Amino acid sequence: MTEQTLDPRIRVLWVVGGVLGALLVAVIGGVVSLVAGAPGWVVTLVLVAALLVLVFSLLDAFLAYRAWSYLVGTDGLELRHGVLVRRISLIPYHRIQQIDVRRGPIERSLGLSTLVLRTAAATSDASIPGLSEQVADPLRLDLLGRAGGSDAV
Amino acid sequence: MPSEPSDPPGLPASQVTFGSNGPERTPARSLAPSVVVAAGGLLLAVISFFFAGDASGIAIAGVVLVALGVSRAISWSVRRYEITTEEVRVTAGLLERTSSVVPYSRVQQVDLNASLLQRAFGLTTVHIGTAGASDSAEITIDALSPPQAEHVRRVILERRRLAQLAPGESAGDAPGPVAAAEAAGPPVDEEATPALTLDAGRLALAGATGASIWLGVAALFGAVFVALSTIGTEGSDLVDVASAASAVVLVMLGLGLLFGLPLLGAGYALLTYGNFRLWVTPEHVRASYGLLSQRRLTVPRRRVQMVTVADNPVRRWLGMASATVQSASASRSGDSRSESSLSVPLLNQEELDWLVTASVGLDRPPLTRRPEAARGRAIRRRLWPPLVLGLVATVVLALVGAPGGVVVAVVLAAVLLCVAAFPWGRASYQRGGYAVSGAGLALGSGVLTHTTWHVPLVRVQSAGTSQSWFQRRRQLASLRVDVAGAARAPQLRDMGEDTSTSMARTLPLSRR
Repeated sequence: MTEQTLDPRIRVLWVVGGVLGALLVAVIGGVVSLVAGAPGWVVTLVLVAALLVLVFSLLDAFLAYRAWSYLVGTDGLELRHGVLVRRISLIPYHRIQQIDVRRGPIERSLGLSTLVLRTAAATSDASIPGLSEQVADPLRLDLLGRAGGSDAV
Repeated sequence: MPSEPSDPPGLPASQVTFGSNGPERTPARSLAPSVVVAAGGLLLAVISFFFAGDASGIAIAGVVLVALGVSRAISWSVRRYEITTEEVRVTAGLLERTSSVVPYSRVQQVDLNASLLQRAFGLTTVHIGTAGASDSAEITIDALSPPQAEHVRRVILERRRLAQLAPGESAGDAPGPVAAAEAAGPPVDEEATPALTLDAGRLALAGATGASIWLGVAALFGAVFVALSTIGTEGSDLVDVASAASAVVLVMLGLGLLFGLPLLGAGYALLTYGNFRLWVTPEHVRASYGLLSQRRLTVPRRRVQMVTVADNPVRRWLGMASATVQSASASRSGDSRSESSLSVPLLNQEELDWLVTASVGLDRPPLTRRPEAARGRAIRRRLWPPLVLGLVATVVLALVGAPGGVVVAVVLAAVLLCVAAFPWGRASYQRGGYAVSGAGLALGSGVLTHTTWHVPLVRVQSAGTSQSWFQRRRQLASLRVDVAGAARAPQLRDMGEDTSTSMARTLPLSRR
């Protein structure tokens, strides 16, 4: 199997997250500075900060999408992601203890799911966001089939 | 079928077996410690009533303590334990009934704990740990008489052993080469003499060279800092003499703490770890210790995930280090390490070699150094934060118009940290390293507290690398190895890009 990318719509999810974050900064900062009666330049600073949050999260949404890939290999799952810090993560099939599918409200409206794999180690980095439903369910069954039946601890 | 281990001598079987004949409550006596605490609280409240005359205080304390006692009694009365041939079951809850089941094959660790109060009433708590990060990954039987607890421990461990042998595995399939040599040993490890005992001198040394040293150093630095700032204040000659005197007193106090805190640490270690004994049998790693509250931890050998060896400058100078034998049940939320992992306070080099070999079947290899580029990275990693933060702080403070003394102090601190980055980074490069042998992996890192993880390859659950933009420029990457039960994954920064990636790809693939 070749390297797979995420569903492009994941960018919408991340952009929405960025917009919400920027709004949060603007609203909280604005309300606090208005209530405290701060001078005009503080309000400007808050707005600039919100704008920066927005710009960076938009940029991040597109770069993170380009950086994300996963590979269903012969022995295990290989995940690659991260923009500033690039991460590679390897989860052998025989170590998989549990597979969850998670769908948040925005994910549901976009028809996306996050596949969360668990091993016996709490520190394993093993979840794949942004899978369309046509991909997520077969992938889950595929991984379940490959997961070892033996006690993996 | 499981062969029942023989009951401890001197007690009829009917008094010792617990939960084996259907669901059972722990003896009513197990409520005694909470009754004592509640009564003590009430007594205090009464005393405060007579001496301070505050009636609302006693009312509130009385109600709270009585409520606590009643809720404790209710939860005791509805909690049932059953130790069947396949599993341990616990049913609990008055309004919402919950039932937990632990099959013997999933047991990672069995501990017997007795606090001082429990010991006064002849009680022992049994903790049965399974893999998993949540609190529900543990069953606690609170509390039994020592013979009952001992019996429960033996039954669980013996059935666990048999459950593990069941699916077509032979008894020779034990971890490491040592197991084969010891396979002729007795299956029950009770009467055997301990493989390792730590005497009072060693324990005192462990306590004196532990965290208390850092507290002492911090206290000394704090005292000197306060003393300097006292002297530094402007004033007449008369005030100066007084402040100089108080500064001397402060420094003396700091020196006293520098030596006094390790003494306290030694006393604490003696009480906590007193009479420390360690057994390593073909089946189990077992430790027993404690002068006030007693703990007996048992980890099946086949459940040992890794051994962590940690030292600090003083212990390194003495040629000693502490070690932790980790099971998969060790990473519970919050009170993780201190509660359930099997740690040995202080060992010399031969004992460390022995412990690592005996518990995970590995030797302690010399660590391979990381590529040359990692040295510069280690220095710059420590240089940039104080440099940038110092500059920003100085500019901000100057803009705000902070007093000159503060600005000077900030600049001085930043410069000191920047200068320290060079020896610190170099030491980090020289002490860090990795080693992969046929059966195991060793990763070492840290300057002041140096930690070495010894992980059998079959225990590596998954692995990963991470590479920052700075590391990418030098073809470096960090390796992380995920092990069950480890709250902090063994990791090493700034390895060669190709080495770390190929290690991350191959290490987790080993199978038993």
